Amino acid sequence: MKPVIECVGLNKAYGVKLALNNVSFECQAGEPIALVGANGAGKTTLFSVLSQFISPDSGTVKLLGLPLGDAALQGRVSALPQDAQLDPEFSVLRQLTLLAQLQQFNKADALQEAQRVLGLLGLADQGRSLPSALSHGMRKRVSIAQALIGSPELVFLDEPTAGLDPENARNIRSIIQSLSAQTTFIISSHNLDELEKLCKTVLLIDNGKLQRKSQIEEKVGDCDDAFLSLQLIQPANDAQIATLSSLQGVDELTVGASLDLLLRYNKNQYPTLDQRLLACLHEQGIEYRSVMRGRSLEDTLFS
Amino acid sequence: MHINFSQISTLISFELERAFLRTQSIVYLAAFTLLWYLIIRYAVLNIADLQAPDADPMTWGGGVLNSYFHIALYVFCLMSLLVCANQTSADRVRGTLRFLTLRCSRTSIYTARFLAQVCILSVLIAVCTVAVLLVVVFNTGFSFQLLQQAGLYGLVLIIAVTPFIALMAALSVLIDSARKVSVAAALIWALAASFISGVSHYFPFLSVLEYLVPGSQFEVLLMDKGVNMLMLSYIPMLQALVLFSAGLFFMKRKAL
Repeated sequence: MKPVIECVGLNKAYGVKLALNNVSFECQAGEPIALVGANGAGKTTLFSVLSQFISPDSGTVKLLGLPLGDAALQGRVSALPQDAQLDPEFSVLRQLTLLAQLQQFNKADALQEAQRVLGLLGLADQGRSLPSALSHGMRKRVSIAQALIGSPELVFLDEPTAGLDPENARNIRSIIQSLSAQTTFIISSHNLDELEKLCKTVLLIDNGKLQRKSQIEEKVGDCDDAFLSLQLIQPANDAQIATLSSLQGVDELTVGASLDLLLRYNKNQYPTLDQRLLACLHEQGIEYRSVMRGRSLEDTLFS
Repeated sequence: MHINFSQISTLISFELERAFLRTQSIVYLAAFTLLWYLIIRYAVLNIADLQAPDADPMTWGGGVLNSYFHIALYVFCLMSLLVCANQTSADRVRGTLRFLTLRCSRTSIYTARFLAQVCILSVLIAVCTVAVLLVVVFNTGFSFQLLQQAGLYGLVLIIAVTPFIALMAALSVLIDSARKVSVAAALIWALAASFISGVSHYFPFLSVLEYLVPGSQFEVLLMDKGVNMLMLSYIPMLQALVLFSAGLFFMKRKAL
């Protein structure tokens, strides 16, 4: 199967700063892919190159097996550009209809498609509104709606839930999950919990360089080392920490934020450590919120 | 270069809707109508009366159309510096162009925006020309000769404004606000014309540079009559082509 994205040796500089430094990677179609990195790491620049908003200084990109700029990509690749706004002079529905017409829908079908994507985002009754009459969150959802016109095969979402209330953020995640069978989403976000729920593959970019590309399942581990992540309700005292550390099989216990503990162990030698850990918590009277196999995405990427 | 004529036609329709069918645009059109009523009533007709006070009706009618053409040539060119200033700049700054470039090529967008402005100015020129013709016909009666003269003037006016629209299209790619685009165009137009005129005074062979400035043919054009006026059309058309191509070159490379 051809990869949906093939980047080879991408470079992009702004003055003396290298925003992308020899970035090469491939992504296969399927589950959503996360793009993470600090502010200024190069995420938006990478998205902008992939969406053809800017040209790379060097390097090649293929999307869906076609080079950037190929007319056959129109309508098959879409994006939620960061901070882009609709034209303030026309209603939301009129503009989405125009965008659908540009994707070769006839006028009647374009109107229907615009209404469909607005309905998908819970904005069916806002079609006649001007963008200026909508809240920030609603405008964001309209921008996501435009990215879904025509059910594209590949969609870049730059901070899709930033600025959204929890309920709408959850709706967006639900929409992404429900559409991921036919659409491959590449999602840039600072919300690692969100990415963890949505994505199986993570691209970590830092200082313009792709640091790693990994499967989130790796945190459960193919190697002998495995992890248990424990979130407590109240901070554990030193004696309780010592007791947990002394459980047979625990190689290392790391105390993260005061309520978060991470245990590293050999899963082949001690496959039932999770059960003994639960028993120990009960015996020690330690109340916990969750026990999770593996590490959080945050621990995986930045520990 | 990928051009999709269906997309261009869709984008042109959208721009025409922006220009003629919104509430705000109706206010602009009302102001435009009032302005041209005043120009025709107090400038065009008075100049025609002054130039040939005792002329027979047909000569007077021709004189009115001639006065209209002289005034319209400069008014529409200046107007295009204001009306056509916002072809891509605001959409680029706001990010709206990104939504479009995900679906069609930059060439299509740029071409559509340019052609839409040509259409809008053509409609405005046609409406004004027809209005003046109606005034003349109302006073002198219909004649095929007047219709032919009005049609020719309308066509020459449309051709004359085209390089100005292309200049605005190119500047709109390079500059981030419509107001700055208008100011830059006025400065470029005035300074280039003055500079080339000054330089060619001392170095006559450089007078060929005058052809680079939109409107350089106006002086000769205003002295020509009949279909001879169309003989100079190649100048604005070439200017428009060069300016359009330069703008397209930058449009394709501009970061959005």
